[in-house]
Amino acid sequence: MPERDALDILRRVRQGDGVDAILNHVKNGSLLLQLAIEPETRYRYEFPYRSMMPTDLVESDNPYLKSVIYEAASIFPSFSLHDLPSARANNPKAPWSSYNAVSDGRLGGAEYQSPCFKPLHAAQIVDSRLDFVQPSSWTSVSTDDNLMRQLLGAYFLYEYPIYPSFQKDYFLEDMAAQQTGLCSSLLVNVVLAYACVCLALSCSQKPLVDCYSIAFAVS
Amino acid sequence: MSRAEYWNPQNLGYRFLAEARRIWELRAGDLQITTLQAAVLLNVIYNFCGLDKIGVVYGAQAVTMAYDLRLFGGAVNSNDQRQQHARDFTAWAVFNFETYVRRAIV
Repeated sequence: MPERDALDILRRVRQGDGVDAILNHVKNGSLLLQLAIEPETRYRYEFPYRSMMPTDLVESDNPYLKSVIYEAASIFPSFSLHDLPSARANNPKAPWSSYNAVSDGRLGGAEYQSPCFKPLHAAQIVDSRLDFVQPSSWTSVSTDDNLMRQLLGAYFLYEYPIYPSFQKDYFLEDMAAQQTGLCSSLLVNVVLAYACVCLALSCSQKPLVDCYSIAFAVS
Repeated sequence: MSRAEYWNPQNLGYRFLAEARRIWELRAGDLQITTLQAAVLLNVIYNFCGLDKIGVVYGAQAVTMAYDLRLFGGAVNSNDQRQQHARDFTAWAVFNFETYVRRAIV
């Protein structure tokens, strides 16, 4: 086991993590890392206009190469500056080293916890209450319950945390139970309108996954 | 980034908003917590569409309704904890909304 991993396990034992959890991580962690070798494109943003930094700019004193966003944007997940001389010596045409963050063990490090590496656009809401609501009984605009549940899900995922005006759980519970204490057809229509407007549905017939995009909230 | 055509009657968002406004006019006299919650969200929707002059009207009505419902006066119904939680949550939501959104727009 590489020294870095051993030190990491020692640190976790010191912190008081359960032994089972650590064993689990050691046994199964490598599986996850193997799956992560192929860069998931949804985790990365495209480097504007060019997919790779031009070779002329890959010099050791280039401050941009030290930025987290560069690592986040580049296709090769871990170009490291201290590999630079050896990389160029081995293969002058390839500006990157051949190792990646997998063997380096840096995936748990602080820089990889930054928001640049989180697949925000692949996030989905998981709320069991959403499965039981029937929006068609609260609004006469549409009878497509699936679409409206998706709209509600998207609203609660992206917009609700910014301007919550009602409590999500009570609202969904009353909505599923057809009770009008903390849910009303006015509120349901307004929430669905909010979801449509903020998620930029351009057409009422297309499925939600094709055409919604995250819009910036006004603040 | 394609923006929602909130003025287009074919657009789903327009239809939901039109239905919401129709129900709003029907319920003009009712004093319910859900109406006040809807008013806050209507304000945000209109702000988002650049029609904050319309939105501000709903926001002001939301505050009036909150005072009429005595949301800011402390615990009213000590029996129903769920209802009290919802009232407290809404009270804070209205306060936050007024502090952040209304001030920023003005």
